[in-house]
Amino acid sequence: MATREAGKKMIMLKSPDGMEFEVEEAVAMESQTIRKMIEDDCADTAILIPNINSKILSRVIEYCNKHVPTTGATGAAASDTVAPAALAEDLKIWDAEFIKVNRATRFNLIQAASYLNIKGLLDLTSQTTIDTISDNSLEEIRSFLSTKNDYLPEEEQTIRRENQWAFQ
Amino acid sequence: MKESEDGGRRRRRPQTQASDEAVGVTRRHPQLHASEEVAGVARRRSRSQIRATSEGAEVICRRGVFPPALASPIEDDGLLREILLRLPPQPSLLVRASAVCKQWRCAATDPKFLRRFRLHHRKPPLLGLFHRRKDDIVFTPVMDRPDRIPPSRFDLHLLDTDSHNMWMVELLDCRHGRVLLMDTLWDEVIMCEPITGEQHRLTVPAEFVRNRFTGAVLCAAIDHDHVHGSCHLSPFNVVLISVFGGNNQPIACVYSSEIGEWGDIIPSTVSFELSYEHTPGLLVGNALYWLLDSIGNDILKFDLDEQSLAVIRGPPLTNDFRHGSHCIIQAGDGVIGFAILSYPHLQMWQRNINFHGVATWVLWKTIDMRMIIGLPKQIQGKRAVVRRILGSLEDSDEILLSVGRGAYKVQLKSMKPKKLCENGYLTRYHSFTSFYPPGTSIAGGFDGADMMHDSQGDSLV
Repeated sequence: MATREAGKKMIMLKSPDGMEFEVEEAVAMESQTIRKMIEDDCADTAILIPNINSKILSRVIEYCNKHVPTTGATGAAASDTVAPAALAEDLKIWDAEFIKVNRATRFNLIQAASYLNIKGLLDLTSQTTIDTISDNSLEEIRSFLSTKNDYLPEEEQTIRRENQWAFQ
Repeated sequence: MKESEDGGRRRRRPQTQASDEAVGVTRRHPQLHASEEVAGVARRRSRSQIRATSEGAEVICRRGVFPPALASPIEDDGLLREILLRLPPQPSLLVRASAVCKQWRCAATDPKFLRRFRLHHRKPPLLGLFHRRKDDIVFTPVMDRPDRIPPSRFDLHLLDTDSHNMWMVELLDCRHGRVLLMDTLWDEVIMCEPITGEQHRLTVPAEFVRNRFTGAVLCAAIDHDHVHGSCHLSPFNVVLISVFGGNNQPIACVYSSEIGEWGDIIPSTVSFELSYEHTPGLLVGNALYWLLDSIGNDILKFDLDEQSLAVIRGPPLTNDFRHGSHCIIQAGDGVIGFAILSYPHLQMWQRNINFHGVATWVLWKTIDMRMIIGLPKQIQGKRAVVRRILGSLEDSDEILLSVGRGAYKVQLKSMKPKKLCENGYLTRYHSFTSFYPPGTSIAGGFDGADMMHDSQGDSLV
């Protein structure tokens, strides 16, 4: 289904839970994975995105929609009136709001960003995770990320002694 | 089906969907696929899928088995590395991450990951300064805890070897995570790798024996994606320069660790005198620069591409700046500059080269140091505050200043100062910038300090 609205080519993305999302091709191509499909002519007008449920996929599309470079008549008009620095600042503020999600959603977004190869979203989600844990103790990190400490006590002690200044 | 306009675009919402957070997105419920158009989409859709792989997602253009569910980003090695990549480059953070669990250590010590880590950050942190202290050459950390690496970790163990008279050993240079020393007793240069504790002793070429010389060490990696800052696995070059070569003409010579020997002697076409105060050289672009002496403003240049020596006239200083302390700075991409301090004024020059290759010194800016907030004031107790330029930091727009009893680094653009360490005496500092990969401790894995297990304040920052 080659949908055209206001001269823009649309494509359909489908999540495994059966939801379909009609998006501009340019927005979908923020994902390098989808871009490759389209450029290699592997994509029809509908693409199945397995493993990313509709809730996460809608957030991913929301991100791409915000970050897609503005082109064309209306886009050019928008970028003519707003300085690039102001646009970047606006995006930064928008990103900060966008990433205010719980841990599970953020992890899902990391998976989706990696899966769909969307660098900006991967940067944002990964950096936020690092920023969240970097103020915490090792025990808090393990607890927060549900990571099991599989070191024997003497192994952990050896690692600490290796560079004990880093733990002081 | 409800239809609405949103930003000039048509938007259709499924009746069964309670909310749709996405902006400008049309979402359809499968139950609504009634039209032929949609049915057609479904048929074509089945040919286009994205398949999960350990490296991410892969496009396939055929009907395939539904891919397995994605692992948690913390369990998935690739995603874990993607996250750890964003750790700031301060040395304690990767070390601490490697202590979380075995999987994290595996990631944080993997050479491929560390290569990506360096590429991601580009600029290694300033860990500290190497300098002479009495009869030893020591490391003074400049970062705050917990990134404050103790001097013992980077002990060059010079006092342990051959009961040397340490006054016969001079600090020549520090670059790309390596330290270069000159041992005049044995006519050797010593290339130290503080991160790994390795040392390489090189006998100097015959033309440099019993001669005084200056020198530089630099990474010789030529990989296009190599980022300097943890170069201990990469080859290195050593450059030596003496003014007393054959026929009393200045000479240079370059050692390549890849070839394992010194190259041909490079004679200079110009004569010059070179002070051996061992002021650090500065690498800008593909050339090394040294001040010829601490009084004049002439500059010695060694072009690494052309393997040639040249003397560059410094900027035309006015009388009130002629006796100030000064240093060569990096004033832009591949552009050298000159900073000179004649209190209260700090003057900076840029050396611009036009299309015809003609160089011109241009006064960049003059700063009134009294306006820099954060530096000690005019009088400290009964003593006047002594101010002096100590040098500049490579690959940055920062200079080192000695003010009173402190050594400071000051950003040239913002003129923002940061105290690095106490500085009770005037000395030549060589800045040591490096990433700090976990798992590279010396001598059996321990840093030699007393065992101390601190389970309390062990946060990542």
